[in-house]
Amino acid sequence: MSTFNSVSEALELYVSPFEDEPQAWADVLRRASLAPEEKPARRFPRRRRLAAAALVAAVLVALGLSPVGGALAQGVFDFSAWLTGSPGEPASKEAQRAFEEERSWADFPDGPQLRRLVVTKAAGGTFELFGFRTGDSLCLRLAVEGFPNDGPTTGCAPLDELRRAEAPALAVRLDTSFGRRDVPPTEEGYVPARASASFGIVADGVDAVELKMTEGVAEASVQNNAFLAVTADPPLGLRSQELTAIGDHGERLAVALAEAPFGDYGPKAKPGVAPGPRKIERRVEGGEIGWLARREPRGVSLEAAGLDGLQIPLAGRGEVRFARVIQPDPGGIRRVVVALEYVAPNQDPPMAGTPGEWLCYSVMNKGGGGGGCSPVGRFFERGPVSLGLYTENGGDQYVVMNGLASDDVASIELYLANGERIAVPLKDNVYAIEMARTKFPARLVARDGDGRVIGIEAYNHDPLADPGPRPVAGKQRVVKRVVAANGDEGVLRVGPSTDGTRCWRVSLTGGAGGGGCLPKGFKERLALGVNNSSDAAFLSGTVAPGTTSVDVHFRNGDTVKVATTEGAVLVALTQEQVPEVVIARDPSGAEVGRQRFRRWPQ
Amino acid sequence: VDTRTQAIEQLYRDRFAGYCDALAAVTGNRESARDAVQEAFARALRKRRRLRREESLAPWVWSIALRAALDAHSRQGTSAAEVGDPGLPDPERDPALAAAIRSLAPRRRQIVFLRYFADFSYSEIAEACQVSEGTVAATLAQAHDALRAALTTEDVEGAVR
Repeated sequence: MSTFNSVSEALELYVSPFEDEPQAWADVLRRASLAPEEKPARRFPRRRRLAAAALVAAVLVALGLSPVGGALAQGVFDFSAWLTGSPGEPASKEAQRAFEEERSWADFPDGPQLRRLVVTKAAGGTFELFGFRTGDSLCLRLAVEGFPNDGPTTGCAPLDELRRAEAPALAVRLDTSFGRRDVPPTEEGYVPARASASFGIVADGVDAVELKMTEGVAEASVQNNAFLAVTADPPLGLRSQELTAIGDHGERLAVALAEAPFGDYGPKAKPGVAPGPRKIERRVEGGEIGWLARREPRGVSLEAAGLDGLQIPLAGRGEVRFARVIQPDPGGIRRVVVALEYVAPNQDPPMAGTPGEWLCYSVMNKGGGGGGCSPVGRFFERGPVSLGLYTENGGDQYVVMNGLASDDVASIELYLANGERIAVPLKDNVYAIEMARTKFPARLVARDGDGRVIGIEAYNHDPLADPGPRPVAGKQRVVKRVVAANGDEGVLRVGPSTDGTRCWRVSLTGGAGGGGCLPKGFKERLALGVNNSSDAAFLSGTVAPGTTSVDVHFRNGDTVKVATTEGAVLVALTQEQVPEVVIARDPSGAEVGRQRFRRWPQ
Repeated sequence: VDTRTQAIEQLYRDRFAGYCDALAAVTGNRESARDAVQEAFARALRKRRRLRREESLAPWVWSIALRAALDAHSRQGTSAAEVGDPGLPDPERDPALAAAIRSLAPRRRQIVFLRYFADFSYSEIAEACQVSEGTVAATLAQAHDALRAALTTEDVEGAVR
């Protein structure tokens, strides 16, 4: 959870003193009646009202909004092929066997049978789209031939999305790239793909699907109630922005989609307000998960799930002492590992975490999944329910909202921007539910056994989108590279933002990193943080104007002086170097800023 | 009872505390904020037929409440420019947040209060403050950064936990 959210949360958790005061509507009425009722507004003469009605009717006719056209135009979307039928044809034995070999108990446990839906050739390869139902989900799997380094990719959506569909098509995954062109990387290190693919499903009556891209329009292949659009040699960063379903009567209907992020940044976030309750009605503290504390064998073991401890967060740094695999929704496809792990005191805190017992969880998938860890006693420090988001691919239209709830929580409800309220399946203190990115802002509300709100987690925009300014593509320059003792590299980039402010970003070996863009009008100041690669730590961030160097004081008494580079700092830290305070200095050596670092809790 | 009266009553039921909180940031006084909210809804009832768009109800009532608060100050010989030192109406409930809120410029503070306490949407804030939605978004982003900095400092110094 970012600091941004913690600020929002601090504001939202604030309990107004006026909440306790009785409302006095009678007093309002009394005050209102002291003054004479105003004269009602003058009404239009009947003749003018008739003229207005005629004008409205004429406009409706001109817009073609009369009840003429096919089922799609009337808002009737038939997804029965997916809900109850079997679209397409059975997959070949080879394709089914490849799927069987790859899937695990933690992915799709009930042995779904693939159906072959769409086949298309592009960029020297063959793209084959399969579909299947499993539990309460539908999934599409795109297999490719001719791209030796790219395996099949699978995206899923809840079947309920079809039952309450507001459009005749549903995007599942957008702009997945395949292959790399034989060209030098850009300055930011990106190499354009050989092909980019988007896919989803359509209702009966949809003849064609168009994707308006950041450059041009892609026409998808539509067969067997599914669509697949493949673009060969796409320009770097090509993204789908609008999806239109075209019916067999020529109707054109817009379908909501969430743009895929590019690189480290997402599309511009749309401001909004998450619906649902905003006030905590009962405060709870010191939450715990009783069955875990008692080591009760809920769910199944790792072995029974065909997993090993390496797929648990913190594994390798802590000793797994107890772990169980929970399926929070009987009809869902998600399994979650909940584990207690022990970090020994002699491990370095910044690398391994506070010594002692940690509570970890992970949404399982091939090669790991989303999740998190916290010292056992602090897991529910911020509230009785945690919230994590997990996607397998940036172009996924659905994110997995997941987390743990303390024993105080009896139920969880999800409030979505379109007005939907979804009861979130909760089992053994675990939840994991698919949610459409197009339905953010969203609010997760935890209630106790008496129905009182005891926990709130909200996202006021699609978390894969950016709320503030973003870096201007192609304008971010590498200004510094540093190598840690273990060989891991940190790369510092600086450049302009879309709002004319300054952006900086540090990228570390293994893909980790951090950075951001300053909001317009924001007064620059010393703002440094520690980022970890797989086994090394780096100190990076921005400084106030006029700063030419920083003194970094470590807890072990060491101090290093580092010159700033274009208003930013990047330093590789050793295992012993835990920053305590950083002092910014101008060219004369005078102190111009100071930042203290929080001590790691012991 | 006409539909607009019902809508105003519903707004009052839903947002009484939020309006009081947001207005307390302007008046700097809990009692005067509460009184101004009561007066504002009364005025809104009397003027309800002047409202042009139903979706403008929340910002419209807010503008009346703000006027009522400033009128009360002016009756007491206080100008709008001299309006107290607004903050959370009950700072001891959350001292760290209260201190952070106090670090914001008044304009930002008001927008933060409208957003978080009065449950205003971006468009409602834009209408109430007569600025664009983009300005609202930018102001909130800046306020978040300022709050984050203030809250972090408090935490680092160990003043309030």
